[in-house]
Amino acid sequence: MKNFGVIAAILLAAILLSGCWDQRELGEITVVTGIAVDKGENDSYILTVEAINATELNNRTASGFAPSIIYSAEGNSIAELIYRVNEGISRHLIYSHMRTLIIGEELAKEGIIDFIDFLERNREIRDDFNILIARDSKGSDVLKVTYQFQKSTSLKLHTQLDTMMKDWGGDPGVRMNDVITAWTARGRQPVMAAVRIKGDPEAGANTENMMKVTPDALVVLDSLAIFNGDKLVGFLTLEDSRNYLWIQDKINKTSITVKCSESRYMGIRVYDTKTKIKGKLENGKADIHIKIRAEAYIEGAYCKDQFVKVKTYEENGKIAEKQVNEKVAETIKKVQQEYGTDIFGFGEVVLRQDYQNFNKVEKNWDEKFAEADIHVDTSLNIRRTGIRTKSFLKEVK
Amino acid sequence: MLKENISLSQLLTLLINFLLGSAIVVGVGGDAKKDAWIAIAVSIMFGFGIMLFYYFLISRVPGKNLYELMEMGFKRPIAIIFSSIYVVYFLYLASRVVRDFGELIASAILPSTPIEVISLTICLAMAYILYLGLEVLGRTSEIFTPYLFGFLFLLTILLFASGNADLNEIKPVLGDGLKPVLKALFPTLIVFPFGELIAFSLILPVVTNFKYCLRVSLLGVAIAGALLLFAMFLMIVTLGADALLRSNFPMLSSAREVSIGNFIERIDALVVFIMMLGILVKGSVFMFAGLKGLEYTFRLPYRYFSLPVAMLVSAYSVLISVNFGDHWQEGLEMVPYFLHLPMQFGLPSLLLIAVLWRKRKKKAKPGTKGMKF
Repeated sequence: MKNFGVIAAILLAAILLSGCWDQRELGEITVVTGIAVDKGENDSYILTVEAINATELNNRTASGFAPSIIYSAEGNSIAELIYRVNEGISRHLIYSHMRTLIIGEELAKEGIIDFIDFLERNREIRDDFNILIARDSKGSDVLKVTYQFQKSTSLKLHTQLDTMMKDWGGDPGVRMNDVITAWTARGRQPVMAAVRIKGDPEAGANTENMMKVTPDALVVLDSLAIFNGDKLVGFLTLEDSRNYLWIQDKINKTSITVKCSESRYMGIRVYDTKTKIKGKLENGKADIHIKIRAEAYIEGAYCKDQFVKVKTYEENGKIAEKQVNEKVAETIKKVQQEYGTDIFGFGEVVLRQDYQNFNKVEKNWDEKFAEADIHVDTSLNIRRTGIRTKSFLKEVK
Repeated sequence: MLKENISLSQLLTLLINFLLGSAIVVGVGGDAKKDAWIAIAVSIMFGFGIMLFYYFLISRVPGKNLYELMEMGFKRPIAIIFSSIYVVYFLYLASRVVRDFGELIASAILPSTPIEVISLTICLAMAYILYLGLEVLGRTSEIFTPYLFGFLFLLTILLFASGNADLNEIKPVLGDGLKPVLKALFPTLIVFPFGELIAFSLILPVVTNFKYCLRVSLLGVAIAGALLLFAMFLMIVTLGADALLRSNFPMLSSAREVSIGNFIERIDALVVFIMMLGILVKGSVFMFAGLKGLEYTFRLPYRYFSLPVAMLVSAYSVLISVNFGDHWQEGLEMVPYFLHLPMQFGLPSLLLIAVLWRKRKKKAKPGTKGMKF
């Protein structure tokens, strides 16, 4: 009887410890690094997945084959399509390491909200991937373009946008959850980065593209796509995109070119910025105060100024401040006048600071946004000037 | 029947894990949206009140648990009826708790694993713990509680370090006034999780140092309440009120946000540990409360029932609802009104009155026949 107990315990343990139903060996899976969604020809969507060939990404094991395989399937729900793509791809696809989601412009113009729900609901897909708009092309074409270093476009874009955002700030740094938050939040509309294929898409989808010094096709960060609800309404320039980041207090470092005298410019590296927004409604009109505080150093001065006196620092700082004020205000004005969609989240600011009044105007907030008074106030301190004080330019000219 | 004892520190950790239990899995106070943390803060006050009430009830006759008090208050036949009701109540709650965990695992961690297997494994663990007795449960929770604090602390640091926490999310504080807070408070937040402390009316009498029992219990409620408050605050600032309300398991969703330097990521496991510990303790405490009722009814040591009852709980955890929506709706719309309110406040109040009346009678006419219960 005692032995029976032991045997029963062993058998039970063997059943319970044998592992879960969800186990998958590394050899049975393929990792998906990016997906693209386009408008379908017959059905609603075309889903394109980029499944990487891991051996090609490693320099030692690479043998010159294509770094990834791209396959499309058409259907009415992305949730079904992510499994349907196995009609062309052999292994089980793993979506949890997805880096980019590219949405074709045509689809974005019609509205994208319905398939995003799947991405949020799915347990495997995390919500921290880049979400991009393919301007003037299909999302699937963007995925196909190869690149020398990261080889697959989705990995390349992920790194590129990150670097861009850290160094200059052209990418709005939008992840899927930011887009969803913008949709659900009262008084904010989403934005996304937009990319474009520079060159010939046909030639880009070839490993030979990776071997050229000037690739036949290259995916470049193009602009900032702005939305009204779930519909794409327009694009802003990269400069505007940087200003957008500045207003959102998301900028890390950036460089600005300041016009210091007639046809002479100086380059300033801005770091350590902080933006505060105050907003309230006065007599039914929104009043927004944006305070930007930044530090900077001179990186290149083509003016006659010699940075040896405090006054020179201050004067140049003032010029830069003025320019930042103008540029930022210009961006906001452009959005107010041309699109009237509150991508900056000023409504959210007012909601937080003036809740009772915001409730009254919430329904037509976009109109209020369009006619809001915007005040930008920058204080920029130039702290140092690199490793030279005086410029040699004065002696030459 | 063996006399069991648990120490004060074990009681404390049991209380903390019990109160965190499923409350941290499913999130509480959602009705108050951005102000859910205020609702929780207020509910801690009610938690103290509820704890005091149960303590007052139990301390009328030292060393007697809820069922024995019932016998004293109403005589055995009626007490048996009432205790059977309580047994069903506690076992139903245990199944609900196990189901919460099963749903969590099945929808977020192991989607192809049948929920029956998940329920069965955790119920087997509970059965074994309870077969070994309450002391083992106490020690289990005592050993694991430091990890709970450690992981919660780590999660906080990681969330703030990865820049996901935005303190602006809680503004405007009380924008819609007190109404949503009150709506979240009555009755959901009061009966769940604080009202469920009724199960501790079976544990309090076996604490070794009963003198300090009240202090420790209140401390336990305070710590657990503070942790809940903190966890809710953390979830609001990371997810925002909207995403919080849309998540089935908000704590898990907020842990998924953590990403530091593309290196520290996917720390869901920490959160699952916190949840699993809470569920294990809470489920076991409910099951223990039910077993005690069986012990009282059948006059057999409760250990005998532990495996069969655990299997019943595991089966019912799957059977109580057909889908997640059913489980959710039942928990929010039916259970608080039809089960929690009468079982947590109605019957105990009745019992308290009966016990006080009996005691008075006993004092007034010593030596008469009526005092023999």
